[in-house]
Amino acid sequence: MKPFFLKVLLLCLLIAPATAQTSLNFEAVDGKTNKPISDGISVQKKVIQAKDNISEVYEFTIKNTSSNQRWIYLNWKLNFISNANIDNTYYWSGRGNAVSGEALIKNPSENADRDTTMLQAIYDKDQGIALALPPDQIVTQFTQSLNYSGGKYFLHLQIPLVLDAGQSDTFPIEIYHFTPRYGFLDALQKYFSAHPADFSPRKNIDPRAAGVGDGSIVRPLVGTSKELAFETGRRFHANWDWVYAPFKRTGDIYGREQFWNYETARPSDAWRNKGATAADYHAKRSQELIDINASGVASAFYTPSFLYSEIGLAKEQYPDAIIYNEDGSYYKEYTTPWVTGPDNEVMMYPWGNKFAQQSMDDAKQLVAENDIPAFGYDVMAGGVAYRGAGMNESPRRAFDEQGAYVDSSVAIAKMADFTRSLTKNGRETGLVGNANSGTRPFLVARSDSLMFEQPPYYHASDFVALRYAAGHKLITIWNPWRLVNLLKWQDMTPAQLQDAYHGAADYLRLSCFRYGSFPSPRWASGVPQIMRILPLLKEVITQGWQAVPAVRGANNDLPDYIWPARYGNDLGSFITIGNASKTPWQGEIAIDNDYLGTSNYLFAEVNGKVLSQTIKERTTLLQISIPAHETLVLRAVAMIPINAIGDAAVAWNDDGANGTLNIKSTFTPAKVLSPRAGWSLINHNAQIWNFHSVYFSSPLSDILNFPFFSETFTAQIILPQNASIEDQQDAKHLQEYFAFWGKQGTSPARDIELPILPYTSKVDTTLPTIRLDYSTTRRERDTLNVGNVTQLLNALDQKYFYYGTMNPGPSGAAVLKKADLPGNILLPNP
Amino acid sequence: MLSAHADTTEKNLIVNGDFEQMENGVAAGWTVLKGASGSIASFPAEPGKGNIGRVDNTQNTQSAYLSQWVKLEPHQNYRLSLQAAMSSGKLTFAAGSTGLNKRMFGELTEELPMAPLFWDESWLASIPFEPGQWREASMEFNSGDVTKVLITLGGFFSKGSYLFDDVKLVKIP
Repeated sequence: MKPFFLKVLLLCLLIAPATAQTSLNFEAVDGKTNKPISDGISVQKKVIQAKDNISEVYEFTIKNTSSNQRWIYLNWKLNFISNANIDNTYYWSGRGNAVSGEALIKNPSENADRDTTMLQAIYDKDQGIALALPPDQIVTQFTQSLNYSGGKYFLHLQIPLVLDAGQSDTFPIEIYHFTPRYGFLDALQKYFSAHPADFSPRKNIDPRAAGVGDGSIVRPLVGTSKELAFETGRRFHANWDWVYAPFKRTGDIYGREQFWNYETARPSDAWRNKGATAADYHAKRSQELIDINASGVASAFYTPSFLYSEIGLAKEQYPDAIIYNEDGSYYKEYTTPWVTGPDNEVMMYPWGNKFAQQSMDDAKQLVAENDIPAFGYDVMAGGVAYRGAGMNESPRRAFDEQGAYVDSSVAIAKMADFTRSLTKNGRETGLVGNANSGTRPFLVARSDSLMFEQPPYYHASDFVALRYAAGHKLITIWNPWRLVNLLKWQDMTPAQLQDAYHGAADYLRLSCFRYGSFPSPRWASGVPQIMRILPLLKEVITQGWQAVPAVRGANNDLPDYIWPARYGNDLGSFITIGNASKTPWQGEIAIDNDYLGTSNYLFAEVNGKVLSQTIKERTTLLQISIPAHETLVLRAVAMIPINAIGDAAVAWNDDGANGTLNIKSTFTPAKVLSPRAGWSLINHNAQIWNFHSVYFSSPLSDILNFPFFSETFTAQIILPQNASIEDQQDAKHLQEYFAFWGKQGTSPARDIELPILPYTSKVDTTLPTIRLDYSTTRRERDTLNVGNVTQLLNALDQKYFYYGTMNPGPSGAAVLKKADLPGNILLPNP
Repeated sequence: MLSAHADTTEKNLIVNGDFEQMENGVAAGWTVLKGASGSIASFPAEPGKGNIGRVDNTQNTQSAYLSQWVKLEPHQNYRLSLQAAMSSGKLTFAAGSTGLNKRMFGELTEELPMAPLFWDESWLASIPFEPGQWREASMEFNSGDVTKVLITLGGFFSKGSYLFDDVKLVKIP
């Protein structure tokens, strides 16, 4: 970006609109008198040439030129000019649904408290305009509202700001012009495009930290059944473990010698509280972190967002960082188990004070000495006013009737910037955020992946708000069910409760496809219909959720119960369409190809069924049908020139090793893809495009029928000559696969151990043999030559299908018991 | 305001359920249970409704409550009904005592996406509210061994403003 316009106004703060730019007015108002400021404040305004012309960007630098601290309301107003009547005009406050009609003249507004996206928009049927702060901008508080005055609408952004004498601050303010074909989502899509770094995980972190969480299922196995840890994580497609509270004392995450011995509030069974030295603990923790990472999931080293300390430590070392109420009581004091269990804990402000410095030193040393790909930020939220030590060192202070303050989320953001900057072996440290209802978009922007701790239907608007703030990033939906909180379960029959569990599972599956989310093992365990979708869901949503679904009814709006979504860009984009109704739905849909890329596209159903479609102008029209409570997944598999029109029928067929994409049409696709990953185009003959599997040279049925074990024998795994560590790990993972299946997948449980033999050993030729280190997996009678082991295991899951038993979720044991589900398994309804 | 169940001939056991009788700024018969700092109970006049009971909760912590003790007959069925309104948060009304804990919630419709497509509406523990719109809410319970119950009205650990009027507790068959 380069500045091309500079305007400096001293004393006069009502800024005229820039020539040829959108009319953006700025006014500074005194926070104590509520009158326009006439002196002591200077404002510089720059107009920035935004990258790709996605937005207009204005940079406002406000300086306190007086000799006193000033409280200032910064006000930006943007006029929306439209001839549309009130019922055809819509306002989106940055959260929830857009409003129209009489609501427009009632000053609709939203503040920062509920993860409100820092973008607001107004639009009619033809045009729209949005006013925004960039998503990474730290602010203690803001209000986005629609003002109606003199028959005109104004988008209004107000930020309360405290500036000390001589202090200045700079705010980039963005304006987006959009055509509201999909309402405010068009503005949100532009906002995503303007800030790809804030709405995508970083590239230079352990990629697992940008994946999905394991519901804390792997770490306990690392300690008790190490051989099952990898397989369990893989079965649930998990990428990171929420390494909960890996410290003895809250507030001392490193475990300093000088803070090690103290009297806990409650006894603990943990060995670290029973005489272990700090050095013992460091050694054991270090090994555990190594083991977790080696089991396939990345350790996300848990912290309560650095917001809590054991009370004795806080009073002794960091008394000025404790957050208090006005009456002098602790703002939050936990005298029942919270972070560690044995500690009583109080809430702290971790920036600009001794507690923050110690926390940074701890984090830095932890990363230097341990295998920590990411930090987990629990309770990653704001909403707590702080006025103690560190406030004046914090950016973007605000004010209220009690005086100047800074929001707790500001400190979390600063700590996040610090831990994100820590590097090891050339990689930055990831950040996994547990974003509850009070989180802030600038905290979500600093996260590489997110956790939503509740079901998507519990605090439902918070879930959608998080989706908007997270952009393309993955969200793991952590805890299941919550029927105990939502239903009159004590009055319900077991049959009704079973139906309620099915309804919850259906909603979860549909919501995951609709909002780019993934269920933790707590959800999937014991629910086969969730387990079945995990591989496809993961493949789809890792392409990145898009704000505009680009799918509509061909002739009218889609019904409310049809839930469209879009992932990725260009060829390879996925379109998902969920049917939330209780009956099948069929209809004609139109996919607006211009949102996907610069071509037109043909689509295939990922399950291979023939899909008839028509390309007309820039849309692809498709007649589809979707069963009740299911999601149809389409992928853009052929790129067609934008001037081509006509009909096509697209079908995919494969046996696991060879696949064909059959495109019956008059088109000449410029490029084609398979509907799923893992295929390579070989050639094409007229309408048939031939693919080979990247991983398998034998049909899947041959591989699934390979005799890995029977009642009387097991296949033997032969290591390659000069086996590498990776080869040995592959062999072990294959061995663990069947050990897991024997223990978890068969009834009664049995030991299935495929022996791993060195290359030079004498092979029993009567037994089936598995050989490793091949380019692809191929079966030759009773020998299986294996290429990519993980892909083989994923394929074998179809036959050795595991789903475990249901997790009752928080406080849900009594409800689950009353539902009386045989084996605590939610089998699909017949 | 009349409720759907106002045709009952049973006596309303709630004293001053419409909050019209005021004594020193507090509705007669009602006690304010104070919650965390910032939560306030009041009895303002509302256009077209006269005085109402109102709880403003500024934090997602313990709320203030409007409360009233009511005597019951054991092992009888009762219906607690009221008019209520809210714009955000989670409203609650409850009948509680040792041996009895009956509670209902109110939430905005956008927070209750499960009914009717996934759950039967009659299963829900929360009553859906449109923002700022008054509606009737009710629950029924059996008194069991309990002869005295505390009726409470307020917000459930949620920031918001919760409005109440025409509170009735009647015995039902």
